[in-house]
Amino acid sequence: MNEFVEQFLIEGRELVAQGNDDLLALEERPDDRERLDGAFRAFHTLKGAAGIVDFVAMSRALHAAEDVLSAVRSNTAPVTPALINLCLACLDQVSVWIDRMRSNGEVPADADAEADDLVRRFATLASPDSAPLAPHDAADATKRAEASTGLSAIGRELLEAQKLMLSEPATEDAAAARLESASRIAANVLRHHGRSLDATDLEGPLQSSLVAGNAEAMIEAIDRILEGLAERPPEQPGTLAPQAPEATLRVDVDRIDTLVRLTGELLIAKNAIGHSAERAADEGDPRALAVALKNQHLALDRLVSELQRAVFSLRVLPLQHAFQRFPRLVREMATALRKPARLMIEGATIEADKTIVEAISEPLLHVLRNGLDHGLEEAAERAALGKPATATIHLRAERQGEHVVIEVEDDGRGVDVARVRDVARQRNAAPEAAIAAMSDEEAINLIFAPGFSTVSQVTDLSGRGVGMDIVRNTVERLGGRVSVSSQRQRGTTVRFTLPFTVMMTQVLTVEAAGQVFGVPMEAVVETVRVGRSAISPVGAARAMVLRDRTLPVIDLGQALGRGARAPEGDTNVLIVAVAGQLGGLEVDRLGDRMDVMLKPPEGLLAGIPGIDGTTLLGDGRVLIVLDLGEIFGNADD
Amino acid sequence: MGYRVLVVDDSKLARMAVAKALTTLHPDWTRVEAANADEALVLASKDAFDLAILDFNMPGRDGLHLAAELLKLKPALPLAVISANHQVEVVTRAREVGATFLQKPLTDKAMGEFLAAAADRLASP
Repeated sequence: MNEFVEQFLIEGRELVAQGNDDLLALEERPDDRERLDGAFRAFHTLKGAAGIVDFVAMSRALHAAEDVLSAVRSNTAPVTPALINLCLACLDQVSVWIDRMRSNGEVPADADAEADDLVRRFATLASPDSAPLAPHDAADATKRAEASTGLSAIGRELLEAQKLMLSEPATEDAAAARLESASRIAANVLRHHGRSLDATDLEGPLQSSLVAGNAEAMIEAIDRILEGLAERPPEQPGTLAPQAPEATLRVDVDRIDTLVRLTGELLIAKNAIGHSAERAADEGDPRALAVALKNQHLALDRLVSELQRAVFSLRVLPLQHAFQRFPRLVREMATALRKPARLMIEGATIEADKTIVEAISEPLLHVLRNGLDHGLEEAAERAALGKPATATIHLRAERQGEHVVIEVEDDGRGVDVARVRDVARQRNAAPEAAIAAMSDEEAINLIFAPGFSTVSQVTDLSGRGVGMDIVRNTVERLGGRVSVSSQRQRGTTVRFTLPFTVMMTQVLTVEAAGQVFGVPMEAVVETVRVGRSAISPVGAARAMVLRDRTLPVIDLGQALGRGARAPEGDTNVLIVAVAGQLGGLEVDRLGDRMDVMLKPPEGLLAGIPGIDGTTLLGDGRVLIVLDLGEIFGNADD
Repeated sequence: MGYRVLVVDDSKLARMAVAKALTTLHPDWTRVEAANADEALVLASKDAFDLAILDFNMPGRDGLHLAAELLKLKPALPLAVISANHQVEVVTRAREVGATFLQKPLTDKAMGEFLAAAADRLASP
C-alpha cells in the first residue's frame, strides 16, 4: 500500500467522523453556520482526497453531496431531515469504501454503481419534480421490477423466502435468530447486485425489529427492496458499519521519545553486562562479579518494566473511537421506537488500550439499546410524570487509577426490582433462597445472570440481540466488571469498570494430532529438529541428549491419545524450561508467534489438567494454551 | 538556485500531493508546511520564503484571506490558491489579490506553469 493510500485511509476516516458529527449537530440546530461550514468542508476535503488517490466514483458521489450543501450555504435550500439522511448515507458509503480499500489498498472496482445511486438520490433531493416515478403500468411487473431494482430472479426468490420465514410465528429466541439471518441474506443479495449502500441500510430495520420484538420493519425493508424503492423513509436511516480493528495508530511524539530514551539506557545496561562477561573470562574475583551482575540485573529489570509500560502506552486509543457512532445509532433507535432521546457524551478523549476500546463498543451499544427500549417511558407517560419530553442518556468516561470507568445513565423509569426478582425466580437465574436474601442493589444485578434474559441462548458473541449476560461475559473477558444501579422513576445507570491496559501473553503455536495449541513463549528456549531415532525409550518415558544433557521428551500427539510413531525420519522438538528444568516437547509442526489475551479455562475445560488457559483466535476458533508444568509434572509420575 | 516554498493545507494528504509535484519538478527547492492560516502566519513572521501555495477551503481563515495577509508582509510574493471547486467567485477573487488559481487534483502541468512563472518573477528584480 503506498503512502498516499495510507494517508487517505487515515484522513478519510477522520473526515467521515467529523462530517457525521457536524451533520447531527446541524440537524438539531439548522441555523448553526459553523456546523454547516464544517460539514461542507468535510465533504469537500474528502472529495479532494479521493481525487488524489484517483478514486473517481467517490469524488462523484461527494461532489453531489457538496452541491446540495453548497445550496444550503447560499440559502437557496433548507436543511431538511431528508437532506441530512442522504448526506449521512453518503458518509456511510464512503466508510464502506474506505474499509474495502483498507483490505487491499486498491480503489474498489464496483464503486461506480453505488456512486451512481447516490448521485441519483442527491439529484432527486435537489429537484423532487424531476424524480423518476415508479411506473404504474401493470404489464410485465417482474421485468419492470428487475429493471428498477436490478435484482436477479434468484435474488428475488431468496428475498421472498426470507419474508415467508419471517412471517411464520416463532419463539422469542428463534425470532431474533431469524431476523439476523434474514438481514444477512438480504444484505448479501444486495451486495451481490453491487448495492452495498442499501445493504448497510438494513441495519436500521434490523435494530428496529429486534427492539420492537416483531419482524414488521424487516419485512417492510425487504418489500422496499423488492419494489425497487431504494429510498428508505426518513425515519429509518442507515447505520455505520460495525467497528473493525484499526491497522494504524496515531502516537504522541512524547511517547516515542520515551522509547528512544529507554533504548539508550538498555544499550548502556547491555554494555555493562558485556563488561562483566569479560571480567568473568579474566577470572576476576567471583564475589565482586556476582555483586556487579546482581546490580546489572536490577537495572535491567527496572528498564524492562519501564519499557513494557511505554509500549503499552503506545497501544492506547481515545474512547471517541468507540463512541463516535453512538449519536447516530441512538438517533435511529429513538426514532424507530418513537421515544425522543438525546445522547450526551463526556470524556470521549479518555484513553484506554486499543483492544479495550475496540471491544467495548458492542456491549455499550447493547446497553444503550436496552436503555432506550426498556428504560425509557413512552412520551405520554413522561408527560404525565412531568419529565421533559426528550429523554437524556449520558455516556461518560473517566480514568480512575489503573481503570477506565464508563457509565451509561438514563432518566427513564428505573429498574423494577420486584419484577427482576420474580423473573429471576421464574427462570431459575439464581437459587430461590439467594434471591430472597439479596438486597435491592444486589437483586438488580440479577439482570446480568445467565438465563435471566430469554434470548441469551443465542450464542452471538458480538452482543447483538443477546441478553445482558453476554454483555457481562464480554466485559469480564476483557478483565472488567459491569454493574447496574437504579432509582425508581429517576433512571438507571450501568457502570463498566475496565482495565486501562491488557496483559498480553506471547505464545508460539504448535500442531499435534491435527490440533493447534499455544505454548507460552517465555518457556521456549529453542526449537530443534532431530532424527526420531535420537529419542530413546527410558523405562516408560523417552529422552534425548542435547549438548551433553539428557532431557525428557514428551510427544504431544501421543500425550493426546494418538499412538506412538515409528522411530524414523526427523521431528520437531521444542526445548522448554519448566521450573528450572529443561524438557523436550515433540510436535508435528511449528506455527507462529502471537500475542494473546489469556483467559482461565472454564466450563468443561476447567477440569482437564495441562491447560493453562484459552484465547480466541482471529477466525473465532479457541486456542488452548498448554500448562507445561502440568504436562511435564505428570510425565515424572 | 533553490527557492523556499510555503505549502498550506489542512489535509496532510493534499500537502503530500503538492510535495510530490514539487519534488518531481524542482528537486532542489525546499518547502515548509502549515496546516492552517494561523500556523502559516507564525511561520511567515519567523522565516522568509519565496513563494506560497495555499488551499482555499480551510478551517479558520480561508486561503484567500491568508493570501492577503501574506502579501501585506511581502507584496511581491508569488502565490497560488488551490481548490477542488472551480468556482467563478474564488477564481475572480484570487485574480484580484494577485494569486494564481489552481484546480485540485493538481496536475504536474498546471503546477509546472505556476512554478515557472514564479521563478521568472523571482529571477527578474
